[in-house]
Amino acid sequence: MTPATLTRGLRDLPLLLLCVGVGVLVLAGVILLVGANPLLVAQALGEGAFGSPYKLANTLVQTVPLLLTGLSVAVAFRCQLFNIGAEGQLLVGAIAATWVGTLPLPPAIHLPLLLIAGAMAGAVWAGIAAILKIGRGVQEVLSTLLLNFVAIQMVSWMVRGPLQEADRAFPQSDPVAVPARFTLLIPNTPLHSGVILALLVAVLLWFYLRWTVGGFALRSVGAGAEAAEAAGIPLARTLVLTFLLSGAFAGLAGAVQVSGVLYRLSEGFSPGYGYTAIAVALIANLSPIAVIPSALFFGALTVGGTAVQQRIPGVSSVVVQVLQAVILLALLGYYWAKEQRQKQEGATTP
Amino acid sequence: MNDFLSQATVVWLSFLLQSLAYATPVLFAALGELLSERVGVINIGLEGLLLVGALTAVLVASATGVPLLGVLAALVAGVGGAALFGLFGVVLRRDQVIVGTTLNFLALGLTGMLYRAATSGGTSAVTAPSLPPIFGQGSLSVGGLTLLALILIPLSHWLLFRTRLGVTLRATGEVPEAAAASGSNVIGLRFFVCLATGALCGLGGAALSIGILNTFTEGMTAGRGFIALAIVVFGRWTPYGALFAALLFAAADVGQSRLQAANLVPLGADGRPLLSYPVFLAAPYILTLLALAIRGAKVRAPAALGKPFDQG
Repeated sequence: MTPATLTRGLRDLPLLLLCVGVGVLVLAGVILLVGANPLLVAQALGEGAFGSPYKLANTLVQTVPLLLTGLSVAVAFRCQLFNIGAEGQLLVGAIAATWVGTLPLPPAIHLPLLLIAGAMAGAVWAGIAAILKIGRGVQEVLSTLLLNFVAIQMVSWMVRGPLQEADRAFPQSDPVAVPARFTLLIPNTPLHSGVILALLVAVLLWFYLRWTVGGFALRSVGAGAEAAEAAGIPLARTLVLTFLLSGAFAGLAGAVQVSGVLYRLSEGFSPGYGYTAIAVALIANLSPIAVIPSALFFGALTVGGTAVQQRIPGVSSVVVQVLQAVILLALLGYYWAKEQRQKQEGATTP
Repeated sequence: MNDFLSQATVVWLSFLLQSLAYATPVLFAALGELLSERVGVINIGLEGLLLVGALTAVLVASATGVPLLGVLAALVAGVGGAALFGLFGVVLRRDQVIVGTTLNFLALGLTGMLYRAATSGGTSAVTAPSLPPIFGQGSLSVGGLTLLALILIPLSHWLLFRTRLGVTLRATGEVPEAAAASGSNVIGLRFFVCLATGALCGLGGAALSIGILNTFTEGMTAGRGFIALAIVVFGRWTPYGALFAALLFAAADVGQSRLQAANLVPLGADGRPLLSYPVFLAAPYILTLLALAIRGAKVRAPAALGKPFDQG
């Protein structure tokens, strides 16, 4: 960051705070409307997310899938591909990971195989949207969304059919083999070593986008597909690669959930990570490194939201979704105001 | 009435009418999206707008005891939600896909919060009087909102393709620069159509919550807003096409539930159903994907779809 961009960033800070402030006030109004005290809600939220080492570990565990799916959305949006299908890619990733995890495989390579399977399944699921877009001109917004619904039913079918536990008592899979699970980082907390993998992926993606030819092509297509193609960047190849990469991250998120948290597949295990991921990526301004704090923020909201629901009567955990929306709208307002200011400056300076 | 009709006729007629009723919420949303996309605005917040309409209809109908007031309130609430979309997506020129996604978050969260507040934490359900049918009764009836949707189809066809306003609207979605140059207020038109989309989605939500059922559940739209998006593409951005597609999907939906209810699903060698419930539930989405894949190359969206316009 050069001094000039730093001062410009600092100058925009009051504007950003103003927009977010307005958003938070609106949310407080909504909470008052349903008859609760916004300050108590905020306190329960913070306490629930960070109040003890155990709660903090919980927050970090929630952060991992949001971080990976956030990266999935970020990389796609950077290329102007509106992949809204991280949720479905996560689900099929979890299916594939469960399948591999319950196979009798050598312990030494069981975990890596599980993770690779998850990532590949996610990539394949996103690949369907890639084929539809490039081959048939189908908007990825539509195809990825529809594939989410198919994936939800696929999980339901798997846990009642091919992947159902051996004694067929419940709609769930058998547990994955112990060597295929992430070890716990801190004993007696849910924090597993998948968090390290997720952080590593974020750094790798940053490196890829910033320093490699492929990353340059991806960003160029995102900045303007026609110009990029005119400059000799292979458009179709870049699009397909971005889809696959995006799907692989989301699929990996599903695999990490299976191997680090759930240990088996069941229905409805994702509270919409793939949708929250859109907010995660946008608030991070689509930067892989900034996705880390952004995911942590939303992880804290998820854990805190549950605490709010338990402690404050009349307020449900969906308050978190309203908060997400309000923050997004505040950011959209901020970008607009910033654009207006730049326009004015462009008009006054010769 | 049944005395005059043979048994088979009754079965087919009730199948058709039930399909029509199921198609109604999606049809309203699809019609709204169709108009919106024709002026160049892609609104993927349909799902959220439907939810807002559904909740408002139930709350107002249950409070007043008058279903029609619920429908009107749902329309107004839909317009309100769409105004928010229009403010950010059209006036402030933010990316429409992002604004639509945000609207869905907001609507899902807000309707959930408000419904729980209204039911004191989900312990008591709010039931509302449902809309009485316009004619017929039981499984052989047509609801008022279904009738309205069926009237709106030719009406919007006429508006889009037979009137001067229609030409202007379509020009706004194809070459907004030219429309602006010939004196149209592109931003104003787009914003206004946005509100109309909201009104239609509000009606669609009401058709779902007090037209078909008489209560609200969190996330009860279950992806209908997204199906409506697909229906617009499948119907090639025409009202009659949307009607055909909506009926096709609804018939598939009603058909699968009837097959299941009648135990007509073939069993495998192990005595378990060959096609299980989830496969049926996934069918409409797979069908939509296939439809998009098959028709993909032949359909062309309005040229300026999703592109923000700066009147300068």
